[in-house]
Amino acid sequence: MKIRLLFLFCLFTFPAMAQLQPMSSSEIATFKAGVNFASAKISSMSADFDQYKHLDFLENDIKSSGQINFKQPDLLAWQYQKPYNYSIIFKKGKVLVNDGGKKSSTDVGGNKLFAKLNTLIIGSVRGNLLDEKQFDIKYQKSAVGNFATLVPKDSAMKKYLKQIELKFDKASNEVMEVRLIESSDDFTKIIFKNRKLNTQISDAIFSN
Amino acid sequence: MRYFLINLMLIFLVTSCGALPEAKWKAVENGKKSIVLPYFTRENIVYSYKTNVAAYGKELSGILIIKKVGDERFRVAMTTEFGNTLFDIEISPKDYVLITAVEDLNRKIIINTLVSDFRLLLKSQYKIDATFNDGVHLISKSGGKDDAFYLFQTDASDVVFKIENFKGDKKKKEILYATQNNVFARKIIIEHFDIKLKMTMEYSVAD
Repeated sequence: MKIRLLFLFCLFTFPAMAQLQPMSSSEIATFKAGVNFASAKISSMSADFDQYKHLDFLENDIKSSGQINFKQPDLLAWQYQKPYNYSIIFKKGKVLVNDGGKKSSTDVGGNKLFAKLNTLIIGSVRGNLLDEKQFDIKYQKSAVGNFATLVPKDSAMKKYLKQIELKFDKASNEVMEVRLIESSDDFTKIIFKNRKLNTQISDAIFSN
Repeated sequence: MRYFLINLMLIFLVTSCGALPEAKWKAVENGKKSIVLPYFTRENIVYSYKTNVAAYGKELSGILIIKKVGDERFRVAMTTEFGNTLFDIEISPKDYVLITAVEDLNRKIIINTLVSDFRLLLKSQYKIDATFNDGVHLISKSGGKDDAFYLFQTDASDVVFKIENFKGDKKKKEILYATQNNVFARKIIIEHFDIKLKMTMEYSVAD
């Protein structure tokens, strides 16, 4: 009976334990160089995304989806298409929102937290968010990808985000998945699909 | 001088005592004893509304998520479109538990207003004390003069499309419902008349 229980314990715990393993310092160095190299090559990026909002009292996460477009150096447009139309554009120090036809504009400069959020989003899309001055970072690997877990050092940021988890494609070093975990342990998971790099993106995408 | 003061007092009394809304309506005999609003009665359903809150010239938008978690107990959470949670409150008719709220919203006056509005939104059982007809609508009154709720229905259907909340003769707030199949609210507007606050909710369906 004891052996059977031990077998069952191993059956359930070993896959979980085998999933993520810490990287060695040389693996971290290689991984970071690979990410920086991949990130430096990006002049533009477009992708579809699925966003899942997890709240502890829901059995199923709330799903929304849309398209993201990024253009160097700092043009970023999130366009939610399902289940509602909503877009948010970060452009030249401004945040432009189109909420189902209702348009507004906010100055990022007046809001330091918004400015940091902007940097964070662009960084997570490009992959160059691995900044140890801003975050305590843990690096892990698995058979399917590499993982970076970022804990903000800034106290204002900490109030909104407990942790950011980035999942990178093993071969291309591109960010495939972002998980933003709040202090309450609720989280938002964003999965990027159909990524297209360095294609022509019209400036009209970044206009409200 | 004495007559002048008496006249002044009379003017003050006349202008400060407005009439209750039912003064204009015709009383209906043998009205219903109770009304049940079906809009948030189902358990195991997640009600998700794209929501805009406009208060004193400022606006906040996001997704309002409501789930019935027990007998007259609800979890009500609002997130931004990006996903970060703005507030998460467990609400019952007598008390509430604030699970989380962002710093800008975590003020007693804001939380109390939200809880009060959501209690009204989620209240499903109304004991009816009087019924009226304004020529177009059937209006059922629940509660006394201090805190009265007027539930508006069209004569042809049982659907409650509006609730007005009066304290004395002053209209404090109202809820408007646009319904579907008479059991589900696809659009809801909560508007205050004593403060500048309006919440517009539109049902959003994920795939």
